Amino acid sequence: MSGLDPVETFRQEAQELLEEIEQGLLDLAHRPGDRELVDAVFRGLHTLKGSGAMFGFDALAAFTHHCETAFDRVRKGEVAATSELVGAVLACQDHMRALAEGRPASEATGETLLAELHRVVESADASSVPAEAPAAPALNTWRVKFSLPADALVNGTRPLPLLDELRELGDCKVVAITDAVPAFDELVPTECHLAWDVTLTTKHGRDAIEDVFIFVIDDMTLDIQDLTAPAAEVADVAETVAAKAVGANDEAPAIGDGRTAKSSDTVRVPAERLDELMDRVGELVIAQSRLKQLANSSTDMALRSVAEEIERLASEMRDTMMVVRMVPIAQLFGRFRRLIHDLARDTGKTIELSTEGETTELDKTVIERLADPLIHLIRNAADHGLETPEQRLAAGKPETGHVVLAARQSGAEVVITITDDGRGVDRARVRAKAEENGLIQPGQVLSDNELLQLIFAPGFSTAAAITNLSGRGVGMDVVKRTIEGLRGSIELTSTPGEGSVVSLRIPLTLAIIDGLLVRVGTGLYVIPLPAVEECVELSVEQDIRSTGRSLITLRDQLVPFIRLRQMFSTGQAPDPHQKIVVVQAGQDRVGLVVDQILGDHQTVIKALSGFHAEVGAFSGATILGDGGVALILDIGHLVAAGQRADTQMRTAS
Amino acid sequence: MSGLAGIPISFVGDVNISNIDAAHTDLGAALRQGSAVLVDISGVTEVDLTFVQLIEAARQASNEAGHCFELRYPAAGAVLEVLQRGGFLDDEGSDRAKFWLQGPKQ
Repeated sequence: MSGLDPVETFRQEAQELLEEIEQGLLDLAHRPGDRELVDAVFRGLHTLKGSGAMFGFDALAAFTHHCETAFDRVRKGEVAATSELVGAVLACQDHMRALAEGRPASEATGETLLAELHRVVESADASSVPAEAPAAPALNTWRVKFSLPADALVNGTRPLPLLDELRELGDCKVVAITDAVPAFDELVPTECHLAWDVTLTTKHGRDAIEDVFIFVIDDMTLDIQDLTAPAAEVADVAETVAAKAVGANDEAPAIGDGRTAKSSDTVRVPAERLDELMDRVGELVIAQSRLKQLANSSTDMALRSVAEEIERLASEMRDTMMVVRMVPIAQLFGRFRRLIHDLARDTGKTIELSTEGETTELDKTVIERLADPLIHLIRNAADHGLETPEQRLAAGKPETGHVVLAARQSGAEVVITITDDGRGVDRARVRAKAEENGLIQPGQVLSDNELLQLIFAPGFSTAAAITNLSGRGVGMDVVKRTIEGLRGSIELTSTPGEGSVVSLRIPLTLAIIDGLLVRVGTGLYVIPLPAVEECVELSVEQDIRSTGRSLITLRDQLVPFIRLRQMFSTGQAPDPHQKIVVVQAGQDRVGLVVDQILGDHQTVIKALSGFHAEVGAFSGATILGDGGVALILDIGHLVAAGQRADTQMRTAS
Repeated sequence: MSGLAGIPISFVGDVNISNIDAAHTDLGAALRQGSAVLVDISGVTEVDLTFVQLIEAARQASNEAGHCFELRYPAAGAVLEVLQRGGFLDDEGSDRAKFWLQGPKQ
C-alpha cells in the first residue's frame, strides 16, 4: 500500500500527456497556425521523452525524440502543420501509447511510422512554409534580459544551457548581473539571484528567443527588446514587453501559488483505495443500522441520541463518498474527437462532433465501461447514419454531417444521447433483414419502436457492405448488453431523412442499489429492484401441475420459471405460499420461485472474491442490518439459464 | 604587500548546489575574522552557478568592508568554463573579470 510503483506512476502521467498531445493535435487540425497549440504539443512530447528516459522507457524516449524533432520544425515555422502532418503524428502517438503501456509494439512498425512522418515533414516543408515567415530574414539585434525565480536551481532549472542555446542563435554577448545577489550573510546559497543581460544578433525572430525559455517562461521574468527596430517601434515594443514583464512579475508569484495550491488541492488516489474506502463506508452503514436496531429496543436516551447522530453522519459520509468517485464525463467525451477524426478520414465524409454537458459527473468505473459501447454507437452514427457529402447536398442538407454527444443528469440517472443528422434508420431494410435472419415472421405486425428495437438483436446488421468500421453485426447487441450490465437502458428513435438519436440511461453509481430482499430456504437473497416486474403467488395446485414443466401463464404469455430452492439445493420443504418474482432482462422474462418476499432493501454491493468468480448466478453480496450476508442475484445470468432450460424442455417434449 | 597574506581558505572537489551550504558556512567563518581572505580554488573539479554566486557575494561583502578578497590562482578548468558560459567574463576590463582571471595582486 505504501509507495506507488514509479513505473505505474509514469504510465499514468504518460497517459495524461498523450491525451494532452492528442487534444492539441486535433485542435491543430482546425487551427493550423496556432502557436500556443504547437508549443503545447511540443512541450508534451518533450516531457514525455524526458520522463520516459528517466523511468527506463528507452524505446519510447527514442521514438518520441524523432517525433519531437519533427514537431520542432513546425514550432520553428520551417514546416506547416498540415492535416497530413497532424495525422502522421497522431499515428505515431498511438505507437507511443503502446510503448508506454508496455504492449507489444514492433520496431518495424515504429520505423514505418517514422519514415512516413519524415516523408510528410519533407513534403510539407517543400509545399507550404507559412506565408508569414519572412522571405529573407535580415539580421536583427535583440536585447534579452532575464532572471529566474529564486528556487529555479533547486527545481532543476539550469541557466547555463539556456545561455548556450541563445549563443546558438547568433552572435551573442552575455553579461551576468549580480546586483540582486543578497549580502553574504543573508544569502541562501542554493537560491538563484543572478540575472543576465544578453545582446544577440541573429536572423531569428522573437519567437525563437522565447522558445529558448519555453520550459521556464511561466515563472521567470523575460524582457526582449528589438534594438534594430525603428525608434517608434522600439518604444512600442518596449512598452508591450514591459507590460508583459510586469505581467510576468505579477503573475509569477500568482502562478507559483496556483501551482502549490493545485498540488495540495488535488490528490491522485488509486481507484482501489477509493473502493476500499467505499467498502468501509458500506460496513459503517451496516454497523450503524445494527446500532439503530439496538438503540430502538433500548430505553437509554443517551444511546438513542448517539445512534441518531451516527445515523446522520453515516448517511452524509455515504453521500460524500459517492461524490468522491464521480468524474466529469468530459474525460470520456474527449476521447471521441480522435475517433471522429479517423472516421472522417476513413469514410471520406465531413463530420463534426460537438459535445454538450461535459461537466456531468458519473462514477469512474461506469465511465470506463461506457467507453466501448459509445465507440460503437458513434461509429454507427458516422458510418451508417451520416450520408456522403454528395448525398447530403442532394438531399438539401449542409455538406458537413453533425454528431452530437450530450450528457445530462436526470434524477439518479445520467442520460447520454448520441444524435446524428444523417439519413435515419431505413425501416424497410431493418424489416427485410430481420425477416431474413428469422428474427420476425414475414409480414408480422410490429410497432415502430419494436421494429427499431430489432437493431439490438444479436446478429443483426443492415450494412450492405461490411466495412472495417462497423457492420460486423456484433455491435449493437453487445452495446445493449454492456449498458444493461451497468443497469442502464438503451433506446433508439429515428426520423427518416433527419437522423437518429440513441439515448443511454445510466445509473449514477454501481455501488449501491435498491434491492428486493427474498428468502429461499434459510438463505436471504437480493434481487435488483429495477429488474423486478411483478410478484405473483405460486399456488400449491399450480406448483404440482407445473412440475417437470416450469412454465406459468401470465396474461396469456408463457413465462418460464426457475425454482431457486432446487437450483440452490436448499434441501428443505417449500413454504406453502411460494411466490414467483418475475424479472426481466432485455426482452426476456423469467420467474424466480422464492419462499418469502421480505421487502425492499438499500443494498451496498460488495464484490465477491476472485475465488467465487466462477459462480455465475450471483453478481455480489451485501451485509444486512443484523450482520447476516445476502447474495445478490445476477438477473442476466438467471434469465439466460431460465430461457435455456425452457428451450431444452420444449425440444424434449 | 606580499599578496599571499590573508586567511587562507580552499575549496576542493565538486562544489555545487548539493554542498554549497557547507561552503557558505566555511567562507562566512573566514570572512568574519575581519581581515583579508585568500581563496584557493585550484583543487575544484566541478562547480555550478551557486559557487560563482557565493564567491561573488563574498567578494562584494569584502569590498564593502574594505577587506582584501583574492584568489590564490586565476580561475581555470571547470570554474573558468562556468564563468565563460555564464557571462561573468564578457567585459574584460571589469573588476569581476580581473578578480577571476588575474589572481592575487602583486
